[in-house]
Amino acid sequence: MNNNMYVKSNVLIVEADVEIDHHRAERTRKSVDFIMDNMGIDKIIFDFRETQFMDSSGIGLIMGRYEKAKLTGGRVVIANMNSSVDRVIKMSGLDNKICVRNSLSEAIDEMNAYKSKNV
Amino acid sequence: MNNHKAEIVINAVSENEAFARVVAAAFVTKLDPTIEEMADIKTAVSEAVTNSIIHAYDNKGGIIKIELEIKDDVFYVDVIDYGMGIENVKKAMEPMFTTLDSGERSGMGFVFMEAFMDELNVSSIVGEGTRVHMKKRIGSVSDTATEVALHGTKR
Repeated sequence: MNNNMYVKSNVLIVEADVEIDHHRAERTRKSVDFIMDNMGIDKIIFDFRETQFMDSSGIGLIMGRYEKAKLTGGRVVIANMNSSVDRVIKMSGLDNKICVRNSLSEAIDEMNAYKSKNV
Repeated sequence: MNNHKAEIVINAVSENEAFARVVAAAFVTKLDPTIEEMADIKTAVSEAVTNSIIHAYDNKGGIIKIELEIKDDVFYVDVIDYGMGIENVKKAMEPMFTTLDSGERSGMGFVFMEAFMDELNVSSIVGEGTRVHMKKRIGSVSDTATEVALHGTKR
């Protein structure tokens, strides 16, 4: 399993790869789905602070997790995108569907607010 | 006349997606591109190669040929596979269209190629393969602002 993800207060925080393409996205998808399925976690934050490159496979990765989390009333929040990742996300329209925050702490606040509304 | 050519042949495996886009980015450095232009080219090549791996060859492997060319200030890249081909190219190029219903593919591959490059041509023969031809002028007017921001001067 990847070591670049951890669970904190029932929220899975994924420190996204430096480059996210189809190859890397598949690996991340497997790890995230394993944790979702085995720990019953459906609240996920993707932290893109390290990510310098992302193609449409990254969009598919986030969309797929969003759809999966939605099934059990969960949520996906994305944070910390640099300008090139942000450009790809805006072009895909993903930001219309998924909550975007500037920093990890804002993303965690957002997730906590969501949890308290949906106990 | 500034003219360079290169050609690489790679196996259609996902590990090679990074290799392919890095080679394309390295090749185009001759034209002194901006960081943004480099990112555009890397994304477009990554999309084309990924399509060949997962669609043309259905993840079963094959051969992908990448032809690179510089003519004056224009960069050309052709990504060629000998896979199953695309039945309806026009439909394949529509945003959000994907033949894979796993929910893991965004259907944005061709949209990104079109957006990040100046020209995109897709020719395909079912059962024979697909050629994705892309073109991008480096240092075009639209990038002048970025250029000034990055280097503090006009080229």
